[in-house]
Amino acid sequence: MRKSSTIFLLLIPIFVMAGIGIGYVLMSKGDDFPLSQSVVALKEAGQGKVIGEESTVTVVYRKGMELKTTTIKTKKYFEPLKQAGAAVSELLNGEHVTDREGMPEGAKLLGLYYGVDRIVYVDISSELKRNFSGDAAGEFLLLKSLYDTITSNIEADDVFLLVNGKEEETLGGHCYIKYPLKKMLTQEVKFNET
Amino acid sequence: MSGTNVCIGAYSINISIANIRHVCYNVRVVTKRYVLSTVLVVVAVVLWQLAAMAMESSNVTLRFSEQTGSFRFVFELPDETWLNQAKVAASYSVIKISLIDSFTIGAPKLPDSIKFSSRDNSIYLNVKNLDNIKVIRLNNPYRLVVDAYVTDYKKPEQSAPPEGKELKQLTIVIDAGHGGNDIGLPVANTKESVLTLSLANELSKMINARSAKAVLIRKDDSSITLAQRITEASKRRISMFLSLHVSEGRYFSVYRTTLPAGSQTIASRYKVDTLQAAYLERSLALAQALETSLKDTFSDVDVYHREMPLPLLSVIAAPAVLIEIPNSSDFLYNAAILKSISEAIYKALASYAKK
Repeated sequence: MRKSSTIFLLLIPIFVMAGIGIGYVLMSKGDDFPLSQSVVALKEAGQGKVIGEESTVTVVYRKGMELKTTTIKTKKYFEPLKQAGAAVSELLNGEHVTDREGMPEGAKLLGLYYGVDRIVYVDISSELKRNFSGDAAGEFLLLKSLYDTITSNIEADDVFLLVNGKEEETLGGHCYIKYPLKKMLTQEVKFNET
Repeated sequence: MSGTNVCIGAYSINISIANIRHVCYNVRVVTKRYVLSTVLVVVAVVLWQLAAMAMESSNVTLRFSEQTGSFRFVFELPDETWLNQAKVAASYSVIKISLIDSFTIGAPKLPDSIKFSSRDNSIYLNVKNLDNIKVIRLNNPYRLVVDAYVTDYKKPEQSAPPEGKELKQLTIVIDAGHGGNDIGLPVANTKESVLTLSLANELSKMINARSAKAVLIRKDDSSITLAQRITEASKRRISMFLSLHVSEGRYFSVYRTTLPAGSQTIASRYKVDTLQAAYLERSLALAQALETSLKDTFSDVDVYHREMPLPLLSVIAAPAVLIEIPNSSDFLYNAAILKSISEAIYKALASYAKK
């Protein structure tokens, strides 16, 4: 009797541990759903799971005083964030969109995140700010091209720009980027030379 | 002294012929003066009434409106006789309205293409590009309507009239863009942060020396964040706000800020981030004055008007614009160029303030 109760007492912690393990595995699998409430990070665009087929992404870029939209072929990724990351990378390095203007040299995508508030956080290397060379309209068009490229490829309530992982007040001294960009970038603008 | 003394209580009066004569004389003189002054007052009142009646009867009011391709002048006349006997004639660009008597006229503000004058019993309207006229006579009240049709009509952009103040009463805040580590755009022989500071110094000297008060947000080549600029600007009551920057090419740009949809409500005028809502029309008028002045001074350089969200301007409770000066290898900056730009900006500020 004493032997069986000892075995029973030993089995209880084993069952509890097994329950915690199974629960953890199930919970962590739930994070793979798109637009989940937890934060999904893409450390580098193009490192996600490739499905094997080709896909197209939309890139919005500056040409003169206008924004133009183009679609380019890319690998098809399982996660929409990685698709959007590929589009942002294309905008930054201009491999296929060669006639883009006003993009700072050497800027790289460091990360693209979904926040709990459905705001997409885009993290770009410090070259974006360091090598920016433009006036007020140039800064606006650069931010707008980033915003439009992201929102053309994934659903997002807003976009927040980080430079080298940090919040910045401004990119070029004209526009304020300590807030999400939508409110500023969805206003009607007028450039009378276009 | 001859005569009879009469005692009334404590008083004693001497009644004599001489005294009676003296009293009668005084009564006559006083009566004469009283009658004379009364007559004079009555005459003055009658004359004043007559003058007032005469003034009232000859008061002519001019009302003006503008449609596409035509101007409408409405003259409100004292009575039917004035209306029926008014003659209207047009030759070349002059319209002459002859009335039966002399008059006083209150004229509204007319566009630059119309010159108004009155002489004797006539009114002269000099209308640029006048094609033909049409005259209508209306009763109750008595109105003479003259429609002037013009060729090459260009309707001016509508803008709210700015506050009527003289420049000498104004405080103009000048924000030299960038500074310190943030050099801004590279410019041919210098950098944006230094160039905007030089221009701000030149302009503030000019403003202070002439009439108004200029306040610089950045006084040296130091870093100032946008938030610090906003704080600095909001410390004082501002009449106008200018932010100075450099453009990407060989052109000037004058910016007015835009505000998010729904910012035109009265409540928005009291929100810190949309204080500019109440001044958008005035900022447009200031921007237009700057564009005109810069075009006049630098005829070989383009001047662009731009509107986009600019946080620094959005929080300013005064007419506020951002000016970008050219950036080109064939537009080299020196003291003379900076002075010319400052002069052009100063002229625009004065022109805006005069309105």
